[in-house]
Amino acid sequence: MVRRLRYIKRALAIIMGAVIFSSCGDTYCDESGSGMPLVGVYAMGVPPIEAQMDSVTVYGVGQVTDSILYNNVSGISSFYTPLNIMKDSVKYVIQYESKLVGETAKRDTLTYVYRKQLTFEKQECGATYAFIIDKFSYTTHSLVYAELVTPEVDNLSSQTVKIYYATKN
Amino acid sequence: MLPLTIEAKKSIIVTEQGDTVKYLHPKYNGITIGADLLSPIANLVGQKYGNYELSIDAAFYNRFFPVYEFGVSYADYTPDGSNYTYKLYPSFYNRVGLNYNIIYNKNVPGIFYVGLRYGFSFAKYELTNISVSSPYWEVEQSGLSIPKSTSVAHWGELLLGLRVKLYKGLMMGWAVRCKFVFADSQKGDARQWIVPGFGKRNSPLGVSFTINYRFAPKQKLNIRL
Repeated sequence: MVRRLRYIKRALAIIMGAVIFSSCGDTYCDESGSGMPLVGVYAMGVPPIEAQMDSVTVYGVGQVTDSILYNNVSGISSFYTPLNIMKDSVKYVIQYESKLVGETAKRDTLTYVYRKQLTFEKQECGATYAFIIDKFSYTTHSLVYAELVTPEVDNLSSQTVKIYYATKN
Repeated sequence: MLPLTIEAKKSIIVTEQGDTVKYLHPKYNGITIGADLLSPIANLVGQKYGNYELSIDAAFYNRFFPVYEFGVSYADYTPDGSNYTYKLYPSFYNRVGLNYNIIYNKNVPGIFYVGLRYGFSFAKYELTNISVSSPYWEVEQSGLSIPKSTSVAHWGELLLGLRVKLYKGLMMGWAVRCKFVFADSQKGDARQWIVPGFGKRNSPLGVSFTINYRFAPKQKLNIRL
């Protein structure tokens, strides 16, 4: 009986340690707060390959101070396009140059029409907006194709939209 | 010189007459009621959330202590650096479980125990004073709220505690609690953060500090010391 109780005590200690260890990891929160569509850039091909941008400029249409979100940024293959919480649609202009896809620098636009919902998931994240994109459209001056991967915009790092450019060859 | 020997390995106590008994203490050792003091003290120094909790347990052989704990939780709390106020309407919770006194065959003025609990609660809560911004678009909304949400939660606790006698039946106790949520439902747009009886769901460790009174029957130990 005493031996059995000793086993029980040991088991309780082990369980307690395991629970403490496992419970303390539940604090992750992405710093982006409310969700932002993440746009991934790809070069057309079979299969499409992720394109490293040589130079990209991105800005939102109607931004009050004409602030540019990314200004001739290089070395990235994806970028965020934050939604405006005061509106239900936004339009982004993308001007992209890449040795991979050619030297042209034509401008394309991505348009999101969306709904928003105030939510609270974790104390670390605070109250944030979750967005659902109802409609996604784009122009094809430079890019060939774009797809909405998921209409739900969360604050994790998964891509919401993929845009595809033709390669030089 | 003590008129007995205790064979610790077998937990058998041998009296001076040569009889053997398994337990030093009688089968029933009375009922203890208690109140948690930590939360009320924390409230006095400004904490904006907490519990008011009572407990009742019965002692058998000074070894097994089935226990029932119940109370009410509340919150009206704006964490530092946060963009909201979390309001938990007074919500009831219950815990049932067992304490096991590790030193049950000692004649000491207190108990040192490990314990298990199962807790469940129902909560109504809402978030107010929410401010959200879009830094790039240079816009901000404030005064938002997420209206009432409700949740039912189930959780478990492992305890390590100590309770010592102060004067007659009056006792004081401390316990460290390791808590883990089994499940919680959500009805509404906000996930429950401060769970009644559990505390902040991202804080798996808790501490309780209790004042207790033991109503013990007038009984003799199974041996004379």
